[in-house]
Amino acid sequence: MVFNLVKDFWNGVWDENTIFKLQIGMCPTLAVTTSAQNGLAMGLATTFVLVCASTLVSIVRKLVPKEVRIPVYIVIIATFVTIVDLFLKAGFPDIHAVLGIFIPLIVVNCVILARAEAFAGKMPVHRAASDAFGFGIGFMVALLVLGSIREILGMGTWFGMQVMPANFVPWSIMVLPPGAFISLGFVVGAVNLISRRSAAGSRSS
Amino acid sequence: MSNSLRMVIVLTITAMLSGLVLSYAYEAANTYIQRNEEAKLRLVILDVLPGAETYETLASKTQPEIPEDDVTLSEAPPTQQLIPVYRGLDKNGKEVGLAFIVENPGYGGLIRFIAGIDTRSNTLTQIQILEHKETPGLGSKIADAPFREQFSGKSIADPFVVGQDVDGISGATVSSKAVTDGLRTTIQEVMKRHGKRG
Repeated sequence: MVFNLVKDFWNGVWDENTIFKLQIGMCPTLAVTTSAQNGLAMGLATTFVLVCASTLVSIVRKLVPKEVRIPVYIVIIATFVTIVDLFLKAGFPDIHAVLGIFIPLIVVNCVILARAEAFAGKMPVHRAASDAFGFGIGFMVALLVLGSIREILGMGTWFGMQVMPANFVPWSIMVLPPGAFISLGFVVGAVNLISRRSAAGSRSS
Repeated sequence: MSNSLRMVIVLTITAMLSGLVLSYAYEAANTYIQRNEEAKLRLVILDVLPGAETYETLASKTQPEIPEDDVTLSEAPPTQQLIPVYRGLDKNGKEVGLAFIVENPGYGGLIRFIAGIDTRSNTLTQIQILEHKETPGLGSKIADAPFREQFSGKSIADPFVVGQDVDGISGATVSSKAVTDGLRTTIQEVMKRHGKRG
């Protein structure tokens, strides 16, 4: 049973990583990863919504008639998103100002509805939570990696700290929209390379 | 129980629970959100009043105080709107200027901005747009430096008319006029109420 939970978790982090493997949920990914901090904040917010929504969907899965399951899921998701929105506005107004419209838009992040529909609506609570947590962490790591690359190359800093030598000229294109596509392409390429290597390695051994 | 009745009940309960949870969350977050906004406003006020160390809030055009739970408030005809005025004080407690918030409808919605008057020289210090919904690329230029900076150091006795003493933004006359009209009327009102006597 524990093995199953770990497998559910790892599936979201690596095997079916939202960004690197499934390539869904791209809108917030490309838009907010201008810095490591923004990527991390967006990833945390999405993880929170994903875990809470999937858990609750799994709890009520036998009570909800299947004809109205989508509206119920959306109301559940929207409720948690609004809570996150209010929480950030109250506690972290600077982050809220940067993420702005992308916080309410977590509602329509296809990852969350996809996990509710494909997994949480059919599975017991502990597996749904574990699966959602995996997908959330996978999404967060992806955003953090992209945000870090773009911030380090585009501004020479990481989480606001100067990490590049003083004579480094920042590539400002990296914090602009094209930089999002360029870094995403390279990161997805690297991830594919690693997957292929490890697949080949396990086959030969 | 018929299936459609069950659907109605489930959806109703879901929506009600969601509303309940959100009203509590809003209640809990609201105090902090307001505190953040006040902190932000504080910075802006000190920004438009150079030399000010602190400020005090003056009530302008105040309506008589009505307790918050008085239900007749919503039925009473709206009298004059309250405009917050802030008196900036230097470290000796001497007045350096007045800052006030102006709200005037523009082309796309309410334009909200703050302006500061240096009451020693009776000139404007600067204006800062706090909120607007003007057309991006046209009216939104009211928030840009070239338009805003013409007001810095301008005498408050000037007429504030677009085309006369203020350069409007081409293609955005309504937005430009909303700012100048708001300034002209509010400056007069503020100086009448709070300007130095004598």
